[in-house]
Amino acid sequence: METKKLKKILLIGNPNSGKSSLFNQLTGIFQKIANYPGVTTEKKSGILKLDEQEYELIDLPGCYSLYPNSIDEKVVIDELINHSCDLVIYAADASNLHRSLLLYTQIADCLLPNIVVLNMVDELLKKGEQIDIEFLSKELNTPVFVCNSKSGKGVEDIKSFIQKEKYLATEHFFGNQDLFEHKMNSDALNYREWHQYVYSTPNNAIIENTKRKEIIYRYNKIERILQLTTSRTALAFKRIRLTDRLDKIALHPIAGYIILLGILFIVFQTLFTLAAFPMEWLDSLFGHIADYLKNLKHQSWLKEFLAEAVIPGIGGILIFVPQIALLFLLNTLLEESGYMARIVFLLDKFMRKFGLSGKSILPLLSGNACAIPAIASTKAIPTHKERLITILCIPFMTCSARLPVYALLISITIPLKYQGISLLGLYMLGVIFALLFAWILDKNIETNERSFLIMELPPYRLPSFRNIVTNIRNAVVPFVKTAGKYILTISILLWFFASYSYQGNGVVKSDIEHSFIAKFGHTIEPVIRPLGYDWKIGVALISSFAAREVFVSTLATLYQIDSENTGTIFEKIKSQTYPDTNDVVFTTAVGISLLLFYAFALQCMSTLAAMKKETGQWKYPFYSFVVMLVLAYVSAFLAFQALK
Amino acid sequence: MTLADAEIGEQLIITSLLNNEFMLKLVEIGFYENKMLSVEAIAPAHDPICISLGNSKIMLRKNEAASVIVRKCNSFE
Repeated sequence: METKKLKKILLIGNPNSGKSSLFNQLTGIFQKIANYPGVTTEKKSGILKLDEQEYELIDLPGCYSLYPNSIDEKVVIDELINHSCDLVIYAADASNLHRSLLLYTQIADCLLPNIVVLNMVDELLKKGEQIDIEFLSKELNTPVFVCNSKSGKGVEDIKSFIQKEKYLATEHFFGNQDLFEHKMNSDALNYREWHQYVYSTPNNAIIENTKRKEIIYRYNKIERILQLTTSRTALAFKRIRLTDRLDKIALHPIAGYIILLGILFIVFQTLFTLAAFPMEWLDSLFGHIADYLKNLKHQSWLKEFLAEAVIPGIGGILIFVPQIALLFLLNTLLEESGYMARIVFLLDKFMRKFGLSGKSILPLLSGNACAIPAIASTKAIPTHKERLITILCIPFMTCSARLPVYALLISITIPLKYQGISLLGLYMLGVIFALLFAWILDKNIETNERSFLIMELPPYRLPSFRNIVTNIRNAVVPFVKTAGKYILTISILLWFFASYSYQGNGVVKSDIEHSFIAKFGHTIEPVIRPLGYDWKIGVALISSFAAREVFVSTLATLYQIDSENTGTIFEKIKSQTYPDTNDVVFTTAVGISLLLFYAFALQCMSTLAAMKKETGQWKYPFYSFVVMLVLAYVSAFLAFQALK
Repeated sequence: MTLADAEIGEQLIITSLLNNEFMLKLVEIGFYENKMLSVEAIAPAHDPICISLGNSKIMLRKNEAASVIVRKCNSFE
């Protein structure tokens, strides 16, 4: 049997061109996402399976031309230059063909085999836009497909083309003669060579000017083609008018901000109230399962292992899932509806005061879900300094891994009537310190780069259900996998070290006060004692340097072993007392001290790795880690000493 | 005048772009000579502003807007 190399298909287009929906449609259930959801910040690859033939489909970030303005766009050009591909599927936004086709003509001129897919044409036709597809295909000299990436209409035609037809590189759109008329002063024989020359040469005024002429030349040519192939009826202006009318309010210098505050309020209110119910159910469910196992007559180490390590460990992971799903639901709604771009408009000036950009908002908001995809999504920020500051600020945002820690600590140490306000306070604390930190960094980082922001505001649209589901699934599945790996491993190790000790002639079963873990805990006690913690909290604190959420499962494991009474994990932890004095372990002072520690400390290995990856240097994650740890320790110390 | 001085609701025609680091970015997104645009929204302190150009809306900061030289649509001097 001959093994064939997978054929590689690139998916390219402007931002907001429906590229990702098309990707979801084409790959369907065979999708294997390598990165995190949200905006496509890195190339995403999936498998397209047609009968027995498999194709690798790569979704690249949206970009406007082959001359990159951000790291995001650089990803596209690097892929085109450094790797071969068999076919480019160019996704064009039919409602904005003029701009969409600019990048297309450049790609065609690079002599890459390609097809054009016009997305959402059926909706446009209904709305009064008219496009002569056949004529357009002739003018562009390439197959043009129409499809609706929401309903999936037209996707079959694309698949059958991929499967059956030969892929051809089209003729130069920007003919050779045109090229040399503009005296591109290189030895380039065609556009591809010229582009490679420009890409590897430092910018100068001549190159800049030639690029400008090239783009205007292309636009003029595109205009001529579109005049021949498209027209618009009176109906078409209605949709544009609707977005205009909404924007009159949404971008209004006063009303706009009131609406923004209202929407953010609703988002956070939903997060706090809605997610609480499933979290409680899950907590009591796992509490009951563990109790049920414990009360079984049958005695074995397996039963103990399940009841004391595995079940509380899994419970500690699954309890987050509702919150993460909800966060990503809300993020996707904001992003897909087009409102996120309006937030950028409204807050850009404010963010600039802190050395950030309007484009820092999406990463910072995503930081409320998880810092890792948030850090990856900073690639859309065009200037180096603003991007670096955004990356360094993200760990201050209240990520969903902190939530179960907060939920546990607040519910057992804070009086009921202050519980809601303290959670809100912790969120605010994160935001305030992120901005403060940004402001300090801004004053201390030198740059000679001029900051800029030129961005399209997409028309408002209803988010597609399919995209929401895909985004949520892509957030939850990797979370459960990676968190699961850490939590389960640490839970199991902890259970072992907490249930056994070394005595004279070997490892024997022992109670927790004499176990390995107690020895370790008592060693570190002098460091954490001033913060008000006992050795078990200390162990939980250390183990959660791998990932914060481990804190809850560690406490669950330690107290599950320690305690004979039944009930939910929360109840068991709350009832803990010091064996010598019978004082309650989790007093309000200890709770607040711990909450502050968790608000500030950068206890997440994956975040540190993501920071290294995005900044290219270890010094930034190291710097963040140290600064945040000092801040955490000092504030926890002061809080405990003041309140005890 | 430049786009940074424009008032809300004005219809403008681009006459030229200043030759600076924003030029290419502006051209790529569709700002070039003889294109018509209208000012849709202006944030407090005139920064950033949102304009509509062809079929799309684009926001840009005051700095960038200052490098787009425009004239009013209905002025024929």
